[in-house]
Amino acid sequence: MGMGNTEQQWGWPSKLLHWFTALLILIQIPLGFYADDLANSPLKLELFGWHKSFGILILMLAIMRLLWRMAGSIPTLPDASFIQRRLANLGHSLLYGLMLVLPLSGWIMSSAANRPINWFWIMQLPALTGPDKALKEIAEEVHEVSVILLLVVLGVHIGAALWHHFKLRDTVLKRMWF
Amino acid sequence: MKYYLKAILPSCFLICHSSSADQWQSVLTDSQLNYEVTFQGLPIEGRFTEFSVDYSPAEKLLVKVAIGSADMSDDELNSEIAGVDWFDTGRFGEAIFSSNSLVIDSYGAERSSKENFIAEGSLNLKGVSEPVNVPFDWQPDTQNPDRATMSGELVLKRSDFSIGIGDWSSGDQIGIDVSVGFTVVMQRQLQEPHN
Repeated sequence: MGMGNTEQQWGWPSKLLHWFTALLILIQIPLGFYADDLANSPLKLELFGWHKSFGILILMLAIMRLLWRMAGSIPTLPDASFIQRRLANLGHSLLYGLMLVLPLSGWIMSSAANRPINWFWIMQLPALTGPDKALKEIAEEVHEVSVILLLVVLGVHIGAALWHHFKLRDTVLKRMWF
Repeated sequence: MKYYLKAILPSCFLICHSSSADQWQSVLTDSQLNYEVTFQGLPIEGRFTEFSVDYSPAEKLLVKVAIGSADMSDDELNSEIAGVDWFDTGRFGEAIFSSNSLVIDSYGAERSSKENFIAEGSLNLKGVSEPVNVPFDWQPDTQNPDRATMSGELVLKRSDFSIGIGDWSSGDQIGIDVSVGFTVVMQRQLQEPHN
């Protein structure tokens, strides 16, 4: 298994980054909803501390993946129609967009609400803005709408992977696996 | 004996340099009272926007702080700290620091031209009274003899005043130590003419 992506196969950096991100998102979404539901308490602050740390990590991984894609190429969809390719492209663009928008809107929310972020308790992140009530509300709205959108797109993404694997019996899921 | 002399000296400054009827009062618009606490190990600032500082030779220092004026630059934080676990502003609207003993801080006095004092007194906050020493500099305004700036810093433990009770008392996410900093512009009050 090589490093670079080929026409038929993802290289190991892409695979590793994909599945690591998948794991983080799987933790991140329920963690965010759960912490949001809690009454204000040290536990709530601590869970949000983890949520913010994971979120920024997902952001960094997304940027790395985008750079990696741009530096190389990606495998093509086997036997796919023009429409299918366009839909797949749209889905992946949405996923990348949301992996940028969700962490960034969360970071803006924290900064606008005057809460510093201690990334995994090892590094203070700079505030993206000063205290700002209006901006906080906008960022919160964007964050909430984006996570719903992410749930939908993730559902389609996972559904499409399973459909390729079990129904079309092609290599789309296999080539992302090790 | 030395200690006794030290205790006399500051009174000498604030009294010898002015008539014994001198009274000073803070000018709120030019003054600041800030505090800093750690949020997950990182500093986060707040301020009280309403407070007053009075000095008179007889009563010495009296500081009153409207606790409900605490502002941490976020609505959610502000309503949280006003709650019963924190300041409980519904029951305890005002904090009062009073000191009738000003001691000159000789170490500080040797360091700079400012006059350095320690106000020994008692802080009543959230229904708890604790002895507290407030160190401060007294910097006369070179332009205006009726003005001076008091500034200083001290560290309080919020646990001493039952601020942040229940789960918050561990200091796990919000630190126990609270640094308080102030810069207060004092204005000499003109004596009312006697009738």
